[in-house]
Amino acid sequence: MKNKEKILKYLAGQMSKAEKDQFENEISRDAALEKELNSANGLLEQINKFSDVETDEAYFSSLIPEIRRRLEKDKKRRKVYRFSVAFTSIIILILAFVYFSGNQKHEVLLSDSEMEKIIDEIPQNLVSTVLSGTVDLRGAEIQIDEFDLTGEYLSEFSESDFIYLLNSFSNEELNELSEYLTETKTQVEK
Amino acid sequence: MPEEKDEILVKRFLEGDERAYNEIVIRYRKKIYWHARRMLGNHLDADDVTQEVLIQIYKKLKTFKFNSSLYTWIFKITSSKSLNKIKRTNIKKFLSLDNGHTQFLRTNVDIVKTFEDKEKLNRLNEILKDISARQKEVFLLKQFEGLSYKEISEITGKSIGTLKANYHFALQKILEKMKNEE
Repeated sequence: MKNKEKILKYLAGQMSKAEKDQFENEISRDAALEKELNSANGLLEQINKFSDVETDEAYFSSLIPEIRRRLEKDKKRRKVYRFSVAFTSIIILILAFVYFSGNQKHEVLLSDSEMEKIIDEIPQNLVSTVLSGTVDLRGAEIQIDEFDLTGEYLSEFSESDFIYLLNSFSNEELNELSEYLTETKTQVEK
Repeated sequence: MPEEKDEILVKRFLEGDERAYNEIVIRYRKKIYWHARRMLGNHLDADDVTQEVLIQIYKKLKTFKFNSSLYTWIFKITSSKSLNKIKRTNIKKFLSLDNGHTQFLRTNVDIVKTFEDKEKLNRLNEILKDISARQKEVFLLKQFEGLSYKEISEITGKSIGTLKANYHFALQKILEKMKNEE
């Protein structure tokens, strides 16, 4: 094993007790290895100094009043319905359409059967709010079926609507969306 | 006067003493901010995450059962929110929703006072730029917070073997980059 690899394993705590003892023995006999290890430790010490900076303390003092203000505002805010994971599927579709309709050179990637599968997974009576009142998914289903992929359907969705939606996602939904888009992007780039 | 233990502060808060929450914030605000800041690389996003974490602490403290330390629990929230912020930012970029104004604020709004200090943080961002968010998370928790793999495992929910591998790869890229700059 090369010195560099040994040092990384040592610093990452990936050596067994026996390997560690042997490595430490080797250091005491091998000046070059010792120098390399010291150099790595030196660089790590240097990294810590990058965060040793002077900041405006007023920012930290302002946090408590700011949080108290937000908590108070939260109490007054009307309750927002949470999205279910199933509802995310439709949002993913919409977001994907936005992306692809804005990129003329790309074709929409979902086949009719894939689209049907996603639509089938959405509970028919599921209703959500946050955009403009309620969205009847049965209606949305029809619209998606008829959607000609030119982006017209999305004209009512503003950028801030999408950002608002994005901020409403749960961890699970965010992961689902993130993975979906990454996978889709990879497929397009191939 | 010696500081009250976290357990006592939580107990006081659960008994309705709002000042106990303030004390928790004072105790942890800088740790939360700096972990988020190193993860996200700018003040604007770190401030968002810090506020979200502090609000979540207030709302969820009643469910905290001391199965882990308060410190670990707070870092778990901070790490998770920072990773989510990275994902959201990536999605926004992917969908071209990350506008120029936000980019401008990210670069120009800061609580760091001097030019030299800003340069130091820029250097850190540059060094951390090419490692994945997961690797960065492990590296920062170990390097800056001095946490053990066991504690990091409680925070991230990952096995110790995975964390060691993540740290190894992070370290490899970081050391290579720093050596090349020398």
